[in-house]
Amino acid sequence: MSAPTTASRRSLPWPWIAAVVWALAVPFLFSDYDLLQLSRVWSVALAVASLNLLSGYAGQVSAGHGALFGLGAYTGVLLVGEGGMPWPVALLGALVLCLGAGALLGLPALRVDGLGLGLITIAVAALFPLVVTRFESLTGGAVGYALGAPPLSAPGWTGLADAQFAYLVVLAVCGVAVLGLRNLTRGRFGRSLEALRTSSLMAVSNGVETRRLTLTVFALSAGVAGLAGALNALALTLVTPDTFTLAFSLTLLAASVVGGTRSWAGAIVGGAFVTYLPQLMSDNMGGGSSGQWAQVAYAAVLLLVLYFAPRGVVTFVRAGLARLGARRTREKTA
Amino acid sequence: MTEFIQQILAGLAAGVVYAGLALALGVVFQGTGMLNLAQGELATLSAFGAWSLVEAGMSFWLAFPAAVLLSAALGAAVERVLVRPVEGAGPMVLLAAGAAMLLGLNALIALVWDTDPKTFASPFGASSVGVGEIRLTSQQVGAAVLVLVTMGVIAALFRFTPVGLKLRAVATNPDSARLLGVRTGRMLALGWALAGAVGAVAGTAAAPIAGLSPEMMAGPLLLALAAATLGGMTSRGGAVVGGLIIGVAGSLASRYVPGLGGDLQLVVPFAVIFAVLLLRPQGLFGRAATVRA
Repeated sequence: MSAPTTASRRSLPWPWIAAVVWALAVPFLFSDYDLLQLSRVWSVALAVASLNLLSGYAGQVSAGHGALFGLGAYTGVLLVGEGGMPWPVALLGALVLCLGAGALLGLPALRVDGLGLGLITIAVAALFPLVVTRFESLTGGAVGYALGAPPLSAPGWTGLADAQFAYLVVLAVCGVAVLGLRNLTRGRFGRSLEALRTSSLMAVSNGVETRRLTLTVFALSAGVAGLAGALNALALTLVTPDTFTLAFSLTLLAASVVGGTRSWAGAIVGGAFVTYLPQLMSDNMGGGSSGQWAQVAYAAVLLLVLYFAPRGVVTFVRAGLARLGARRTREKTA
Repeated sequence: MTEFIQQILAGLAAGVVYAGLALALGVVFQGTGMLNLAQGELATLSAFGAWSLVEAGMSFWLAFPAAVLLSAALGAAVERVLVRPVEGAGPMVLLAAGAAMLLGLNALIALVWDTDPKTFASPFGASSVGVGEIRLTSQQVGAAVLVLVTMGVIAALFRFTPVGLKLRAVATNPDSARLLGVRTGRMLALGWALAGAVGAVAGTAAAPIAGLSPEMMAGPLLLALAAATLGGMTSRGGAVVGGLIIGVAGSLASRYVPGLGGDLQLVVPFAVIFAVLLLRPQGLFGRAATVRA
């Protein structure tokens, strides 16, 4: 016999189970193109989740995660293309390199906060495509770097097509990584982050090593962002510098806010938002300047979400459902 | 030596544009606490507005103040309509709102005026001025004077007028300002209007050299962000000095540091602010916030 509170805590998270079943069924239902789009959604969602760890949980701002995503993407693709590594090594390499880059990016965070940090990260985001383009001999310059063969090709025994296998790899890695981030924020580490976010003075006086914690959380967030970038690039088999502009970094930031900076489900919503909304807009608005209309509509939707759901779509929907439920029980008892 | 001085002057001429934008960023930041990423696009919009008026046959000296006034009105409207609802929602939401406005305005400008670059004829003619071998185009000098005069007017407004006092009160301590009967909301809108006007002057001054295109302010905005950080976000004078330093540093580095072509010129100012932020986080002229535990 268990108390009802324990039972409800242990009850299965039905929306998540439904989502997992759906995500696993997808490769056998959809076209290769749709699978590629979904791989983009998952990898961007992972990048957004890494940003959530930093902003929603640690209270630090980064407008430079697009550059870290790009660094991971280039590392992954170059390790496979130039280094001849298998893809798991490439993913690991991207993760490790970006961990280091994140720790470096965290160094100024020890001295400056909020605005100054935002500026430094904006600078990193703005400079990344320029630097990549400059190191042409390695990165392929402005045209980018394309892999000859898809690195995420299905081993024979699976009986899967390459696109299906690539999708499942992206899904599995993203799932495990998001789960890892979620668990990380619930233990001792999560409580110290909570303290740091609320007040660094309070955190220090309660024995939290804020400097080390800040560097750690920056490194972790950057490493996961880099992993996401590598997954994205290996699934697409292509990297170009103009994918990882400042606008992309800002889009990630927007996606994080749209989904809700403290919601892991929100990260997925955010990933879908930035992948599908521009496409949806341009599909429904024909004509030569459809791309621009799509961008205007994107901005408008973003502003509307910020007004009506400043804590994110997921929180907004949850609160709405809770209110609905409360009204129902009231009507029943009345 | 002549060339060195020449580079410094060219850097100063470019720097006034960054200084103007940085001032606009600073005024908005002090009031609303928002890093207005759309400030550059607002300036671009003003430059296109002035260009359209000139194309329609208006004299530049009528079109220019008209564009500045329109931009001020637009700035206030943006604050009232777009920013007010999210003002208390935290830095990430404000940053995202700025990003949304940046993307939206950028696309709107491209829709109205398309993406082909346009030339904005210099209102100062094509002659040059200078002493000896040191020459600057009359456009460079004229634009610099235009921006500097505007910044002077803004500074005087803040320093010597009752409205300026209220603006400073709201920036320093909005709560006590409200208790003392200052209409804080109105002052915030006014701050955005002033920022819009300064940005408009900077944009219109930059247009004949940079060329008119929806992306014309992307680079200058980044440099203005750098300038504002360098000088200190809480210091209006600092923003201006920061802008000039960034302009000169960029100009000198692109000439004397090998391997830094036009595209990597952006690295220099950011290397400078990186160093400044690590040594003096509040900027050269900013005030450090003290915390009482």
